[in-house]
Amino acid sequence: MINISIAITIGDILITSLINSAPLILVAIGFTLLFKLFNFFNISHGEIMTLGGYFSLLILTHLGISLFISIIIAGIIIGIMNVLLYLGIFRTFFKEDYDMITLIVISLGISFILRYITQLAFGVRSRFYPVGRMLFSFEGISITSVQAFGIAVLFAAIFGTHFLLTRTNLGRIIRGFADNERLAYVHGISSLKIGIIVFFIAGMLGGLGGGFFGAYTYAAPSMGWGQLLTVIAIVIVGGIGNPYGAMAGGFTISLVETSVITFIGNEYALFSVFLILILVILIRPRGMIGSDKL
Amino acid sequence: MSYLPFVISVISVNLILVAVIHMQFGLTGISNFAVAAFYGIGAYTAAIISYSSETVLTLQLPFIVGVVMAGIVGGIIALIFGWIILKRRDMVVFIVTLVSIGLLQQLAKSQDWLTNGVRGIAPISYPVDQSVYVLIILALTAGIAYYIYRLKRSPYGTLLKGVRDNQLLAQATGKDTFKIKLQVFAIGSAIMSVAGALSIPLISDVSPSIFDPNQSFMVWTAMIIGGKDKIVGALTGGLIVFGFFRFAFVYLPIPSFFPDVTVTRFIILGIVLVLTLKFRPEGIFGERFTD
Repeated sequence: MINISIAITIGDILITSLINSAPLILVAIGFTLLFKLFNFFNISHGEIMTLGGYFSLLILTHLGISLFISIIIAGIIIGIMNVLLYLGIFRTFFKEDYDMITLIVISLGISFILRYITQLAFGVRSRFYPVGRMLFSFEGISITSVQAFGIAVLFAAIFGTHFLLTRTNLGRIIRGFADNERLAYVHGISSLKIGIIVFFIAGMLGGLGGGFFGAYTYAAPSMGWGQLLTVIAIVIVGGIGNPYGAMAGGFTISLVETSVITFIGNEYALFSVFLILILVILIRPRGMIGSDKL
Repeated sequence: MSYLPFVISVISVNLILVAVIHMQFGLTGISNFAVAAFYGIGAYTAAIISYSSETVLTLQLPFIVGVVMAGIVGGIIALIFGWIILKRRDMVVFIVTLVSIGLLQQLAKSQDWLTNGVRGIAPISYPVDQSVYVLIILALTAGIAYYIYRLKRSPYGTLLKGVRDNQLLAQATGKDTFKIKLQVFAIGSAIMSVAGALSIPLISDVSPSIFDPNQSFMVWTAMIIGGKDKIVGALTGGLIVFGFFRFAFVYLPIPSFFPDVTVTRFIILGIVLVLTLKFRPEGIFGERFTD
């Protein structure tokens, strides 16, 4: 998938998978949160990731601040953009009772609009980040500092999401809204507020994921679209609608991918991901951490 | 090679795809986004069987054999694929068919022994004279469109609409909805593969870029703009999208300050799609209330 260092032992494979899974798990948590709340696959989330990659790069090159801060700022900007997308487009469709497929097709349309606007604005060429290889060694394995930072942000996002959903009043409201929208409405919960918060969190995580993915590899207009298969495999294998599922699924997928790349060959990585996705859909559609929504 | 027959053939082949998606999604409710996947499978099958000179198979059989084999291979793959995913919810079908396109493209790039990798299979010549070939494609398109038109009015068509609108009720009246969906998925996808096979002399080479999600997007947009419930709508939408956005738009005298049309057409198409779903979700010819 990304930046595979020469992995030989099982420990190497585990750490490489952890490094590589971090950006896509961040994207997948946002994807799965949106599914939990609104019951549809938001395909334009891939483009949110792409924009995250480009914005981090722009901030990095034009403001000249450190890569970490650029990625964080880009994440916040993308979060706000996702909220605008919600207020401008998605909300008008949520208000009327569109079926799920129509919502997915709408998000597909938005995805195409955003992708080609990105291509128009930044060109079709891949753009590399001007980051030096800031290596430091850990247990004999080289990790760049941006990779270590990606893992740190991943764990912060995991604990943050967990804390938000289980320990705060807002989290209880969000879960209540996800379980029974009408009941929440009767209790005077504003869907607008929930929508803004969830779209912001999802957009921010997607933007962060895109920033890290870009820093590991490069930014290109089709970056998010190209990772859609892996992201969808992550959320379905883990259990759709469940942020912990995204983490479990993400690490599993990454582990399999890294092993396949190490022992079989690079060209079968995507195929192995698809195979796992198909097997999970066939045998256990609930995913690893149960979700009754599929 | 003259240009007008080429344009007519490409539009016509794509109209087959739109008509099939109308049958699969508009009539039966199978949200199959893998149009480009089956199209590409058909194109590769026919190219490998009839034209390949550098891969494992150098059969060079007549083109008609390649076309028939494309339908068979596409149908068998659809049967296996459909058996796995069609039991699940519609949006799972949509998303898995969507990501399968990228997977096939990657496989076509890496499996040199079968597909000749990124170099692809070329050159592919017309099996008959180009003007005759256009007529064959047009006749086939008309035949498939008429078949789907008749299908909707047949008892089987009513059953398909029943599966689409109320799956539980259809099951309660003793219909095996999974089997019916699988039939429509396999037959439709086999037709798409045949369309892919027929298109290879037009594009003169088959390379991994034939697995193009943009094509699926254009076909779906065509069906939605025209109206998913009616074959007339699907064909009209197909003419609009493939006639205008695929060809005319690119060759219009556009002022030079205007950005790259090959890119902007997808932005415009996306906007048209979202606006259609907002203000006229049933499309141009659709039925507002399903019968």
